[in-house]
Amino acid sequence: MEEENKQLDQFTKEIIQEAGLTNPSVDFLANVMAEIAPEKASEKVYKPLISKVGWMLISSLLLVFSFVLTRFSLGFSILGDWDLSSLFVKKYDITFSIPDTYVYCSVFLLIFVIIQIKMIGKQFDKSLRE
Amino acid sequence: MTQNTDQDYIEQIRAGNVNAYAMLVTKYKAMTFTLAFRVVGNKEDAEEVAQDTFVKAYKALDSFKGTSKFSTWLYRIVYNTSLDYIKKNKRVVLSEHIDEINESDIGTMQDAMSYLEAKEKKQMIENALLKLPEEERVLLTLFYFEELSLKEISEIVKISYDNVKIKLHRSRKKLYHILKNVVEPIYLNHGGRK
Repeated sequence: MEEENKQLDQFTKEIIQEAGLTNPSVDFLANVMAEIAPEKASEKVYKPLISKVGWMLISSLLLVFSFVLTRFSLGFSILGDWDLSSLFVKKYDITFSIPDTYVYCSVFLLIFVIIQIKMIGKQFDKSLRE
Repeated sequence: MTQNTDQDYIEQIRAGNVNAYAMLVTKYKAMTFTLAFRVVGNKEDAEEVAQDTFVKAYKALDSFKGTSKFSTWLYRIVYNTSLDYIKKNKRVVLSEHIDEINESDIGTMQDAMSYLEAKEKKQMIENALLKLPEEERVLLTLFYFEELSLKEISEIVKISYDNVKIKLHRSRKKLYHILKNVVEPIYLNHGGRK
C-alpha cells in the first residue's frame, strides 16, 4: 500500500510536470499594464494645503495670543488713537464705535485669506504641471 | 548584480513606480494563467480571469502585509476570481468513479504514456485534468508543479491542512483512472501488453 502510494505520487508528479504551464496571449502584459495606467493617473494623493505642523503652529500662536489678550492688558493699543468708527462718524454723522478686537480679527482674517490664495495658486500651478 | 525580490518590486510600486509591476506580471503570468485555465477550463475565459487577477492584486497591493509570500497571496486571488467566474457561469463538473489501483497498473500506465508523443501527451494530460473538479486541478498543480507545501496550499484554497492531504490523495487516484481510460486503449491497439 505504502509502495503503491509512493509510485502513484511519483507518477502524478511526472504527469503534472509534463503538462507544464500554459502561457497567456502575447498581449497579456500590455493589456494588464494598460488597465492599470489610468488607475494610477486618476489616483490623486490627498495632500492638505496646510500641513499638520502648520496647523499646530497656527493654533499655538492663536492660543498664546488669546491667553495674553484675556489675561493681561497691554495698557496700550497697537492702533493708537486711530479709530475706524470716526471715519463714519465724520462722513455720515452717525454715532457708533468699532471695538479694537474686531479690527484685529479683520486684519488677521485678511492676512490668512491672502496666504491661502497664494498657496492655492501655487498648488493649482503644480497640479497643472503634473 | 543582486536580483530584485518580489518585496523589492512591491516597495518600488508603492513608491510610485508602476513599471515595477510589469516585472511581477511577467514573473507570475504563466502560473496565474495556468491556474485560471485549470479552473475555468478554456483559454479565452482564463485570459480574462488572469488579467482581472493582476488588476485586483495591483489595487489591493497596499493590503498585502508580507506575512505570506507574494505568490501565495496572488494565487489565492486567482483561485477566488476563477471560482467567482465559474459561479457566474454555473458550470458543473462530474466526478470520476475511483477503483482500487495496484502497483502493476501504475507500471503499465507509465509504459503506455511513454508511447505518446510529447505534444499529444501534454494535450491528453490537460484534457484529463479538466475532467477533475476545479479544486482538485488546482491542488495538483500547486503541489506537483509549483511544489508548494500543504500549509501554503491550505492558505490558498482555504481548506484545512488535513483536507488538502485527503483531497490530494483522492485526486491523484482520479487522475490516474481518467488517464488509464484514455491511454490504455490506444496502447493496446498499438500492440502494447497489459
